[in-house]
Amino acid sequence: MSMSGKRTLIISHGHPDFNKGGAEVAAYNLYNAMKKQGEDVFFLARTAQTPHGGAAFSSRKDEREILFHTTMDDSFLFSNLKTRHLWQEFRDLLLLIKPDVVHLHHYFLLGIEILTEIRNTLPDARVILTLHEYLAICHNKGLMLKTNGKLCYGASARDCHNCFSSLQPGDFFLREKYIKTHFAAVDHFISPSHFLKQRYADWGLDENKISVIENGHPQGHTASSQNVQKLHDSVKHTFAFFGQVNPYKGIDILLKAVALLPKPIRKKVRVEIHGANLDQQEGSYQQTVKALLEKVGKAVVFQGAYEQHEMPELLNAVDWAIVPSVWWENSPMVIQEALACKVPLIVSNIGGMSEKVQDGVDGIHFRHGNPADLANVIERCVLSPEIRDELQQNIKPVLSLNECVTAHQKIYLS
Amino acid sequence: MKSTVKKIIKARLPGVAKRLSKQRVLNIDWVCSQDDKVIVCGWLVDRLSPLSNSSLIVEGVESELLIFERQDVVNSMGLSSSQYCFGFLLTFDGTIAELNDTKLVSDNHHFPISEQRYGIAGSPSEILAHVATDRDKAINFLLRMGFDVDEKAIAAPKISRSLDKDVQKIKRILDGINVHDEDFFSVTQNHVLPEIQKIWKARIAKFTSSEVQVLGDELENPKISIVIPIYGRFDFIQHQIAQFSSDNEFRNVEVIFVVDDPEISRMVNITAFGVYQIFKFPFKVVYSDFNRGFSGANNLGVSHARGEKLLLLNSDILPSRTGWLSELNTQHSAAADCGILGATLIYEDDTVQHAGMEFRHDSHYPGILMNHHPYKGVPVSLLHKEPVFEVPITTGACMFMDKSLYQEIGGFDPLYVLGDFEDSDLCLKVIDKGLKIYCSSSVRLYHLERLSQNLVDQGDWKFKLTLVNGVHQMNKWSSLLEEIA
Repeated sequence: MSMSGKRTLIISHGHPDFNKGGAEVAAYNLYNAMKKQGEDVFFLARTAQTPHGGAAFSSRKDEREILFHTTMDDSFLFSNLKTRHLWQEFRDLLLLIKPDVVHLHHYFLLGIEILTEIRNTLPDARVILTLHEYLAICHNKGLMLKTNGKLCYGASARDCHNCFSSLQPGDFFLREKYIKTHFAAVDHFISPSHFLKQRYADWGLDENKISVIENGHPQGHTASSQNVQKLHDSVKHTFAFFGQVNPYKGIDILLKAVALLPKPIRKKVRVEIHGANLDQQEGSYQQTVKALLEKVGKAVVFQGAYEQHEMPELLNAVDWAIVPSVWWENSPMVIQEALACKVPLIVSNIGGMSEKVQDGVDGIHFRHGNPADLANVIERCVLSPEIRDELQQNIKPVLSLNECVTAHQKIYLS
Repeated sequence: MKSTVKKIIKARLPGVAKRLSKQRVLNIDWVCSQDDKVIVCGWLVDRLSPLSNSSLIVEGVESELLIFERQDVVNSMGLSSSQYCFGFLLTFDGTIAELNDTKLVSDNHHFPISEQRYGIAGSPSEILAHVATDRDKAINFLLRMGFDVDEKAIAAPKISRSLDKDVQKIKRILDGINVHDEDFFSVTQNHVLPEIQKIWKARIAKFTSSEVQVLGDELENPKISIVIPIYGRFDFIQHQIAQFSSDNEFRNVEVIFVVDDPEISRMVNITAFGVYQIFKFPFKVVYSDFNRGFSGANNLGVSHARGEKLLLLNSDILPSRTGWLSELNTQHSAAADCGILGATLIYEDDTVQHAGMEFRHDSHYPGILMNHHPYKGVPVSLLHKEPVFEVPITTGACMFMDKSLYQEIGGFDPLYVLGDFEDSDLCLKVIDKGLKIYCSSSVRLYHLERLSQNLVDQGDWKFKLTLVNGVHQMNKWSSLLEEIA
């Protein structure tokens, strides 16, 4: 499918050159794939970099890749209307580019009013918004995790006040109304998972207006024979974690699970942690993780940060990928990456993780937040290595980036 | 908050210009010690490049650090985004004396605490007043570090503002009376009330100047004018306009906000302009450089109203659907001898906040008829009322009436000091003219009142003031009240 000459503007709340979050990467991949297909496409990414004196925009790489130097003035409402960026500079830019389709991968940091601004300035444009986590629903970083650490099953003004005592129930009511007012400017929503779609439908979005499209994988299938080979040579069973090291990704659960393994099992296990930003976490969390790392000793290797393009190579060297998040997740990048490399996964049994990985088919579920259960799963994998081969054979090809683009273009043009 | 920061910069950073021209600035605002533990509260700014969580390292003591946003510092330093600044709380075991050996290091910049000038806070709760957005995080942090934090004392973020001079005088008068004295009522009637009203009348005489900010084109012939006084929370402008602008019925409705607090005028001005640009919905803001109270603010707003019909509305009221305003208008015209029409007001959980009011004796306020809200907190779906029903009185939070009637009866009586009975008083004026008060049950609006800890006790002098205002109403309307209450 092609866009038959229609112009598309893809907007992201960050440029993956600076912020490697799933949303930024997904938006940029989509832009690059469309550009490669010869489509008339622009990419606008919000940035925290310093602009030329007073400028709202700057360019990156070429004139189709534009950075937007702005930020919210109200982080509770995601509002940005006290600065003139949205209703002056951005409006001017919209009128210069005149896109037929505007596909936003976020409103965070840009300002929620960006949706209404696009609708008012370009009444005929088709406005698409991809939802990447639960930010509109949940003030706790969009995690739908209560501030006491428990899972949240649905927002309500009173319950949200219980999480944030300094904010009134009325404030949460206003927040929801305000966000929904601007969501009314969106023609169609995209969700990378059915789970996230359902959460937004429960929150009041029209489910007929939300399509589920998984993030496309640039290389499609990259499984190498080397992977299979390696396993049988090795005495150790390698389990790997990929992602940010923060309290919601459940590294502590993984480390505690390793600590619980019986010694003979632990000797046969190698756990690699590929993760960045531990130094940016709160002091007490850093200490917890460091103390746990000391406790588990040689069984765990802390590898630090990695680049996206290194993932296939890193994955090919491991037997299992583990996603132990204690929040729901949406569609974690590491799952698609692992499946693309034919590496079976061990994941928490909740949300996007349990949707993307099927228990006993292409991976194994463990009870979320429960190190003992994870330890049992790891032990089983070590004692019965044939499980891995069975699961590996069941892994289906992941959605390729080109398939993903086609699915998007269907929505752009409908 | 903003002016505080400026003051701090002025007072504590000598040679402001020189110091501020430095790229990286660190300031300690407050220090507090409790049970051999110390909290240090301050902020770090880099004028050229964004800071990260690892931008600050503490040398000299084993400490814990919490980092949060300081929008007030961002604003007063003129930083382009909050990434150039953060506030921090630092805690360690020890005494304040150890601060002299403590150094804060930010990349290559060294900030010995001994060179800082800071205030000593009496309790951790006072320090938390400086944490605006991440207060819950800060509370948890301090609790985890073993501090004793009174969560209630800081639950409501308060901008500490000294009482206005007139209010202080009134407070002193009230301090001298005892509500339990047998002759309380007559003393109040004959001495306290005249004294207080003298102060208040002199204040009202000073209400002169006001300015109007017109956003968008003025409507040619508005049918209805909505007057909305703003108290502190000017983000309500954003919320109300977001809702009004998505209702086609509001095309010919004049919306007038009244801001009588000079401390927020500038921010309201900026916000109002942005709100207009995004929502493209015309409205006006009337600014007074004098705090006029509920009556004065409404009366000022009405003096700028051009519609024949008037809706007096609180800023924390939000529609539950479109089409409600014309429905109120129709109902107001159709009801027999209708003076004021109110609406059913509900909380965000769809329970009743207001469905008409009535006078009732209240043992907490002896001798005074209080405005009682029947059915408060009851699920609104349980109420089965006629679409429009007669009520004794209705709340000032939402009143629909003819402007001519409002003007004829002189609007709200400004002599009720700091509120309480203006709305029932206005209803009494209308009843006195032989007209009736109604409430609509088909029009339901959200009224987002704050949660209150205690319904009765809101401080001694405020309680006394309510009694005094109640006496004023009893005085003014003794015979009519005997008839209807």
